[in-house]
Amino acid sequence: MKWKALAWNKSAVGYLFILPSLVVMTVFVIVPLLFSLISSLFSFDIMLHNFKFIGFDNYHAVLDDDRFWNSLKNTVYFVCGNVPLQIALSILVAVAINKRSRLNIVFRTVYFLPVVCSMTIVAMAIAMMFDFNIGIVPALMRQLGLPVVDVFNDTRWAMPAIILISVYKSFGFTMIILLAALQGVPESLYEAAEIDGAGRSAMFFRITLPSIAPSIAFVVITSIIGSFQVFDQVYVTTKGGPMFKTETIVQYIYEKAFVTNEMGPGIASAILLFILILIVTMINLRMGRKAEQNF
Amino acid sequence: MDSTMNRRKSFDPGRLIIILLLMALAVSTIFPFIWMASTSVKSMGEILGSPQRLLPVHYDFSTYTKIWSEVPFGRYFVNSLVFSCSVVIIALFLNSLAGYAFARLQFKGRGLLFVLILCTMMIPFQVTMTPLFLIIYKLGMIDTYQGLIIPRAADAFGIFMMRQFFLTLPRDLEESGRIDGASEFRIFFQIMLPLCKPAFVTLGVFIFMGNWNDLLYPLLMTNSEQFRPIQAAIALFAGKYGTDYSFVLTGLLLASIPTLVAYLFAQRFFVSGIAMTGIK
Repeated sequence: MKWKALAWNKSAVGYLFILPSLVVMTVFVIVPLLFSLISSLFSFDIMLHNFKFIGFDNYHAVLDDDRFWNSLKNTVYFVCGNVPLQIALSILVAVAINKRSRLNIVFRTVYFLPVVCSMTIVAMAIAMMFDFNIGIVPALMRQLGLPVVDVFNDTRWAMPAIILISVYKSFGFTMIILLAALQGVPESLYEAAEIDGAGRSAMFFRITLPSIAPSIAFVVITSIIGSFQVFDQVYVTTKGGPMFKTETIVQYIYEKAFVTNEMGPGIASAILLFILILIVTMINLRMGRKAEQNF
Repeated sequence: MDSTMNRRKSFDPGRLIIILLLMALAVSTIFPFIWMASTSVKSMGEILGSPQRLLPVHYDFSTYTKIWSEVPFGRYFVNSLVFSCSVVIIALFLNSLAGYAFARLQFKGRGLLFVLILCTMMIPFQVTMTPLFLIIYKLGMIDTYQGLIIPRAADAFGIFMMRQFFLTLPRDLEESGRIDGASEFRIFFQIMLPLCKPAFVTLGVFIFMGNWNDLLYPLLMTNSEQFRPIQAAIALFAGKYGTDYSFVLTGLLLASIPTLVAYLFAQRFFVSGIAMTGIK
């Protein structure tokens, strides 16, 4: 009896510690999530009156909409461009500036600068730099006699430009996490490899990459999750244009929910995005576990 | 050891190419900032007339005084500071309480609750934003500081990071406290919290930047100039002053100063802070 009371006391302390966070997250994340899940099965007006059960009609409306599939295609294009470019660049840079030296600390600081600014600021500034008429990049290219493209109004170049902005803004963050991981790789491994006469690339593929593999897995997963939610840089530069070529899923959700006021389909498409992210993350985790077993 | 010394002394073309590439990357990373700064002090005529010039012929600092009177820029700035700093202080405290419990205290359902909290990281903000707005509205907190601050008072990433940090601390610290008969709360406040400095600096800067730089959330939660944070304000006035490049760029630059300062101040803690919290 006494032991039980003691165990309960111990548990109670734990609950007290997590209670404030739990309340905040329940009220402002879990309850809204449940509300969204339930309300996606109803029709209602903008003032949230006249709720009527309509089953999966909101989902049907979204899945029958070509614009949704187009936005999904664009989002996948963005993810497939942004994630590999960003991860590859940050692995190479992190390995190259891993040794502690004054120059490397300068490099580290510079590469991290765009991470510190908001996506709004970075995307607006770069869009201005590439402005067809008064941006410095097209102006310099004209001077050099090169062909000039109005990148954010060109159906082929708008998405690559948005990917470039995203890589520019975020590779420093991935780099810092990988640098932290590289600190944990014991120097003795490299010394042993050097004695065995291993070259630079052998060390990179045989020691560096396997040692930081868990961190790479972590940044790949978080960067995929983040990339599926791409919005700010699209909203600030193209608003989904030209010809819907850069309309991503979140841009589509935003248009539905706040521009055309189709709340139901808006919420339904947001939940579809959530499910998509869950599935992709599950596949990722499973693949990661398999890769780990093969080591 | 000997061989590394030798390698450093001898000429290494591979290393030289790598350094050149790193320099090129550094120049292109910093170029937009230089361009922003130089264009913010160009006159309208120069911006339109000679866009290919990086540096202005005449330096015109008028936008830097105009911006405070033309729009309530100081007000936006204060709003963002109050919002971001309050969130940092409250969230560090709540996240470290929860992180400590998940790392060190035994209670029923600990594993399950922790996994649940991690799962919330995968919920896109777009899924919860409409109901979140309604809840804040029903609480009568739209367009108030508390309406901006309270929903951000705890977050999954912070709890996760603090838990990882507490896991790296040696257990004997708290055990000695427990043997002395101190309560869990005293152990937390007097033994554990003072050790959290590097984790607090790192996580604090992350939280500060996240909130200072956020756009959609403050856009939803405020609708008057009186409480509007700076990013939302910029996104709105950029439309109005769209072609007045020097004016808009002045706003963009001024709005990035606090996060730049926070980062430069905290950067020596950063790598070790992240390594310690074991995101890796």
